[in-house]
Amino acid sequence: MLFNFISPEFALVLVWLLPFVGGVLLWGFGPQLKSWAGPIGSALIGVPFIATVGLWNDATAPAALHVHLVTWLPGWSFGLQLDRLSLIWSLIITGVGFLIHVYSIGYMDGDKAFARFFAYMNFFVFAMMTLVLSDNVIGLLVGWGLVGLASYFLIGFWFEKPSAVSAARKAFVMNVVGDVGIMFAVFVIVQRIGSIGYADIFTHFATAFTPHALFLVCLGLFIGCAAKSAQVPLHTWLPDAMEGPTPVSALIHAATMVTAGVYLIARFAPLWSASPDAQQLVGVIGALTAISGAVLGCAQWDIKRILAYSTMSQIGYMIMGVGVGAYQAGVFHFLTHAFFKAQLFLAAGIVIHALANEQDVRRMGGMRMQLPFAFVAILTGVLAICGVPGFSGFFSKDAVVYGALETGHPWLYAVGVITAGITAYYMFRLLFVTFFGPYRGDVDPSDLGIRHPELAGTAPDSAGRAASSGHHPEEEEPHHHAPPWLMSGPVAILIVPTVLIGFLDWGGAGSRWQRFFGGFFPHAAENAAHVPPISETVSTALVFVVVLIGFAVAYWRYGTTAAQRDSVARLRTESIRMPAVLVNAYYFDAAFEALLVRPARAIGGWFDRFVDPHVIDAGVREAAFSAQWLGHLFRSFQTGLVRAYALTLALGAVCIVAYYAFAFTGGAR
Amino acid sequence: MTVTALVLGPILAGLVIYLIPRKQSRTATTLAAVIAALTFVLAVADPHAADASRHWLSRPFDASFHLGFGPTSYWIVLLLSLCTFGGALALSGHRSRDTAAQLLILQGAMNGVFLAKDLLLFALFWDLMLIPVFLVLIGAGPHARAAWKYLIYNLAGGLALLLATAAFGIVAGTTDVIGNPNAHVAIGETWGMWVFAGIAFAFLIKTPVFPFHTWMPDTYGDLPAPVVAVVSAVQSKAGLYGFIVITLPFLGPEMAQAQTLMFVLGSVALIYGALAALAERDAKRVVAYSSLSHLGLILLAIFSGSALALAGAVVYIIAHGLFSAALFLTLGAVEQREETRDLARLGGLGARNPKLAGALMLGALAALGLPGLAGFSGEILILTGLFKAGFVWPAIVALVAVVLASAYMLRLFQGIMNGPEVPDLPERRDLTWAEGLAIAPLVIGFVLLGLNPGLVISVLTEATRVVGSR
Amino acid sequence: MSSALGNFPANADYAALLPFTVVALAPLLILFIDLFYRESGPWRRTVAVGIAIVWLVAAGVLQALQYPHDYAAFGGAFVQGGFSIVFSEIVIVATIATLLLSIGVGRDDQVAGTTALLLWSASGAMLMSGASNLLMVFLGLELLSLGLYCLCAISARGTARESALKYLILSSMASGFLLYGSALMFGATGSVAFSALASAVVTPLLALGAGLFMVGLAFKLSMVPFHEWTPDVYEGAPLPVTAFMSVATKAGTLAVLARFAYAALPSDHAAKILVPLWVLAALSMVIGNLGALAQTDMKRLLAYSGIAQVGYIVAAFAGTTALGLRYALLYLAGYTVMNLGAFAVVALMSRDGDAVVGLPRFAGLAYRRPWLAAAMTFFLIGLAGLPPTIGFTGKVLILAANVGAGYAWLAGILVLSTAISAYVYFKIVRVMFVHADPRHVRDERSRNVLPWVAVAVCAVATFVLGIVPLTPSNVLPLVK
Repeated sequence: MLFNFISPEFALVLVWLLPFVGGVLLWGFGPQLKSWAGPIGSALIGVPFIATVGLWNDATAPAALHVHLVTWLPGWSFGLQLDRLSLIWSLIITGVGFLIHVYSIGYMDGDKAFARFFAYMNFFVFAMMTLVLSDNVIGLLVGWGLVGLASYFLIGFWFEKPSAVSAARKAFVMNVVGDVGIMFAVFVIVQRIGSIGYADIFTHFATAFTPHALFLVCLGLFIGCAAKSAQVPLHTWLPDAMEGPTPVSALIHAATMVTAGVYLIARFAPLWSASPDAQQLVGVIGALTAISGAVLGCAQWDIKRILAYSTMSQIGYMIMGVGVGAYQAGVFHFLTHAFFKAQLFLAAGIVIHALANEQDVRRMGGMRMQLPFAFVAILTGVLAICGVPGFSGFFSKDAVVYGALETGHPWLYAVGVITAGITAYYMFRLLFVTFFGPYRGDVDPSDLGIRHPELAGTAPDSAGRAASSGHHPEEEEPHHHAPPWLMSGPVAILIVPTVLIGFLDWGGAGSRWQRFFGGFFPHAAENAAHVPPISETVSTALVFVVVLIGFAVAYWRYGTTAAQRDSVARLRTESIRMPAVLVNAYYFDAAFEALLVRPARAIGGWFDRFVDPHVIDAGVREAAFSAQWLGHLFRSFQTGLVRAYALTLALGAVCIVAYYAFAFTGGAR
Repeated sequence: MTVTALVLGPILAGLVIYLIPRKQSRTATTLAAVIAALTFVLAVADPHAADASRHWLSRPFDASFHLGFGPTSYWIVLLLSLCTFGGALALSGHRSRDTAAQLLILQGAMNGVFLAKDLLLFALFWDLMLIPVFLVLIGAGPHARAAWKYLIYNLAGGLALLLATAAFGIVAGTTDVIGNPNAHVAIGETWGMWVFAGIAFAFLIKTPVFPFHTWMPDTYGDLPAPVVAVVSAVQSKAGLYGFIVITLPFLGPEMAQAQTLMFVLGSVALIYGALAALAERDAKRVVAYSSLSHLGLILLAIFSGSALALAGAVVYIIAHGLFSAALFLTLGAVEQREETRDLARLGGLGARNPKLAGALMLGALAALGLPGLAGFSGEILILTGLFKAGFVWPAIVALVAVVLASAYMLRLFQGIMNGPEVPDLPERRDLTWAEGLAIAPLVIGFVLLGLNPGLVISVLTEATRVVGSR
Repeated sequence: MSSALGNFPANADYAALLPFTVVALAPLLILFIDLFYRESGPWRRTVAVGIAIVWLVAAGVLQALQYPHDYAAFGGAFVQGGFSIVFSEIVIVATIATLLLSIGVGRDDQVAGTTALLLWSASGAMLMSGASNLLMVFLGLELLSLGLYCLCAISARGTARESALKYLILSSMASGFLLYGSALMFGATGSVAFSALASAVVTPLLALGAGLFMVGLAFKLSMVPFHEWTPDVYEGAPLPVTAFMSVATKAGTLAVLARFAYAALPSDHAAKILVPLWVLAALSMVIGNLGALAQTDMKRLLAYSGIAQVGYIVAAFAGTTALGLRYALLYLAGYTVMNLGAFAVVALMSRDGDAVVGLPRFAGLAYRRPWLAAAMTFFLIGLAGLPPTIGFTGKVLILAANVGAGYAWLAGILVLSTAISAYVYFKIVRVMFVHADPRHVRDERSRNVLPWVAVAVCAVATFVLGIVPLTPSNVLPLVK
């Protein structure tokens, strides 16, 4: 225990609640705090980080750290738990989160909703901590929903922009689909086990679950992962999520939230290890996502969307890893990815910031002269993500890919290797187009083949900022100035782990990483029982060769001096020749629109405007009308003529007489 | 004593308010708010109040003026006083004196419904509820259509309930049975189904449940928002509450027989309401249809015969009351500022009215079942209970409705608050302190209830007693 | 059944006739005093009405004292006791209310005459409520009707005479049916006493006679299909007379009907004989309310509502159960106060207390005369059968009685027709509460404030009866 003056339990509650306090504080008193909002927000993330570091020993102790909070019903008790898995995540969330907060002070400077931004960011950290610290599945579900909400807030941060608003709604609804999946898993769990606590679940599931039920649970959980971690086919919200400010993309849509799916599967490792069907499913989906995301990454021009698709692809790797049972590898790739992807986004943010919110790489170029620091940052990031030996990505990605082989999924292995090559291609494409060749910002967009600026990844930040802070981007000239230290500092710090963190896994089975998680994931060994046809070294070499190929292609197309010289023409032709299926991202959005959204609207409208008034009410209305009509009918009998009245009187009497005649003469016989 | 005061106090106070001159509407609404607050304090101060009972009829069956707290009704009474408080504070306009008076009378009548321990008394207050709402409607609505729809539908139900009550009394010999665990009532084969049919008809209309719901969107649309807040929050629960405390204990077999039908109706209502809300343009009607969907879920829970679902139903009854009241009060504030409820005309208010936007956001989030808020607590308990009791497909249908809920609630919020500012909308000041004070207690309520629904699940014991722990 | 008659001495028991005599003699005094006036003035009418009210109150008190005991006169032809006293008290209340409304109506020199006629009609109704043989029934009925024929014609309105004549013709026709029925029953049994009928052996002749007898009564009760005269006559007659007819006539006739149905029919065939009665009740409930839907004139509307309300009361007799009779009495009392209250409100809305008051006159009443509107709303809520009024309690009890007696179908029809009636009554409520431009509404205030007394008393009674349903316990034994 680092701090002797407070109990670890209390420290844990603090770690959990401080960001929430920050969120409420900044939301309530933002206008009064003015520029102080940034530092306060950052501090309220930094302190929990330190506290989490201080809790290291308690978390890694055999009996991890527990705090009980509240009990709804028997079997429905809620609490916090900090064990090795949640420790890793908490450290990333608070640590990287802190850096990104600091970066945002510089990036969001001058935005009129400065305080609101930090309020949302703090709230997000709180939600994410709820997700990873909860000791039960419903607490996790709560965190799951709250991160979705935070993501909604931040994607739609510039809510005057219709595109941002609809992107936010899309993200939220898709994530609710995920929540619903987890709810379904909860149903089965409560039905069979009667408790929501992880401990009870893991002790009883083997006896309580039939294989079918187990698969249902895993399926439900995986739907949650797929939505949150942008797995095919629930991925379409992630590229649109780039409507948010760049720091948001870095923290939520790269480093932490989108990897919650990885956490979920790792958390429920025992269930997954026991259900081969689920492993098969998840592994395939993960691989599919990895490769399709990578392919789409090659077709993008918006620097943030390129990074978004690469995120999707990398998460595909992680999901594949944890899916097939290589939990440590998957989690390790999450760790490294958190660093290098955050760094890539932040560096990209520096470029965007410097170019007055230009995000189209075709209108960049030659940046390595003006922004050497950003160049270095992105370069290291690219090397890391491509898995160049020595960089962090190298260790983690190889572990994941080879894990697929160890667990007996050669096809997934193949996909992983190919994806590595494609990754190298589009990342170096990004690097070359952005930082080499001439600066193309002053070229007429049409010459670059930018037909619809608003479609082709126009700068959401700029529009948002314009709407948000009043002054328009075209007014501010591209000032290729060095970024403020508040922005460059965090990136500089991130470079260190981006390069070095991989060495945690140095030394195979005996490495620190393996020891840290030794025995944490049951059955991991059994999963990896298969004897791979090729040794790890060979596989590493193979992957590296593929990566080199990818690099070579990228260099040949964008890197050579010739290519750099007439880059304008080449980019133009490329953008015009770009296959529509890639531009439209395999038409997923169109399909959803046509198959789900429009029909729902139509049916609803029909209910509201036809069924209710003209079917259901019709009956009642007719009854009312006929009553009125009868009323008038009887009134019309009311002629006022005595003879008429006398006639009815007599008729009535006759009827009655008739009754008696029948009733009694009949009765007499 | 306390319970009697809770029923008669507001009614008398309402009549007194009629004596205040129309001009001094502020006085009237303030007084109404104070009375409502007092009822809240009274209920909180004396949660274990003794029943008040005076003998009424001995022929043709025993009946008495018997009022008392029940494990469920206690929370509903608190909810009602909160909603009335908020509604009274939010009142405005030239009719606000009359509306304030009718609001209090409505509160008293509804307290009577929920506190009545005698079926005949229950029916009496049930019919009494109609009058103030009808009076508000004819005063408020531009055309009387909504008023007539409300009256005819609900009176039809009320009369069916009356006939069923008479039959119940004749067969059982007494109606003084509600909440009485050792009342041995055997309606029997011949009458049971008829009695149940009459009672269920009334309850389904009042809730309302598809296909008896068409009066609701019109009524909610025409009523002034502060009154809708009360009606949708509490009056719509009268039927569900009735199912829990009347049919569940005394007409169990009949409920079992009707289970399939009710599940069909409830499931249809779930989806129907959600889809209609997705397409509706009138903000208040969106929330009305969302209520149709949510209340259908509660109906499923009640008829599932699962103790867990029943506990969830009670939680959700309170939760829905809290957030729908908050939503309607907020929408009322919007309507009053912008003089329209058309989502196609509204937009971009969030930039200038952050407080208003915050209130609407919270209400919408609770309504769409955001984990951590009351709506979610109720939903998850109900759905888990349904699934546990073996109703897999209704649970899955409900999950679809959950997704739809997020869609239409965000559509509602974003349609009003987000997007570019609409130029031709008048710019008014943000939420006033009175409106804030009206909404705040409700928000606090559904946050607390979301954190720990165990608060109101004390009723679970009763539920298990009634349906057995399934 | 023999109990009732057996106990009585053959000679006339004057105690039994005392209240009736008091009411029947008052007019003589009033007319006598009126002779001395040469010139007319407001005090002239005041004296007449004042005396009438005093004597009526006296008669009422006398009856109230008699309530526990039972007396018979004319060898049991007229039986005074709990049952008849309840009815004739209702008659007296109605008459007093009528006088309160009528004090402003008509010319000064007419008031003594109208008052006298009114009292004689009232005494006729009292005679009916005690009548226990066919002759006495006819006597009372005619005494009641003769007065009404003149009263209907008294108004200066052109339609008055026509409607009075209409009433005279049709009513005589109905009386003919009644008389013929009586004759048949007498022929079948050789006796005119109800008790004798009850013990007689049933022949088609007797049943037929009973049927025609009931036709006559149904006309007086204006039950469908014998109702058509009602709206016209109500509209033509002066408002107070309408009020009187809508309550007192029905009270007296219901007394006869009840006694006939409960005590004058052989128990084994009673159910069979009475079937048409329940059918008429059902028809009256439904058609009465449907007819009211289309009305815009208050008097016509209340006429139709009266048709339906009588349907409810007769429905309570279904199965001739003891409880049914009690609840019929209770509901009759409730109907009396609610209806008279409504009439009083209407009276307060016209200067001379007798003008055709159409629905438009109520527009925005809640804003111009909130108290009046509040009172009217309360009475209408009661007539519609909503709480907290006797209208609600009475209906529940009638429903219970029907269900208990096995006449659930009648209860169903009652509920249905109540649903229809809601629209009728709440239409008026709506008109009162919708804001209307005062300049477009004819707003008259009655010079006469006495109706306010009637309004207040009726309102209180409507509420109290609803909370404390008095069901006289010793009614049933005294039917016979």
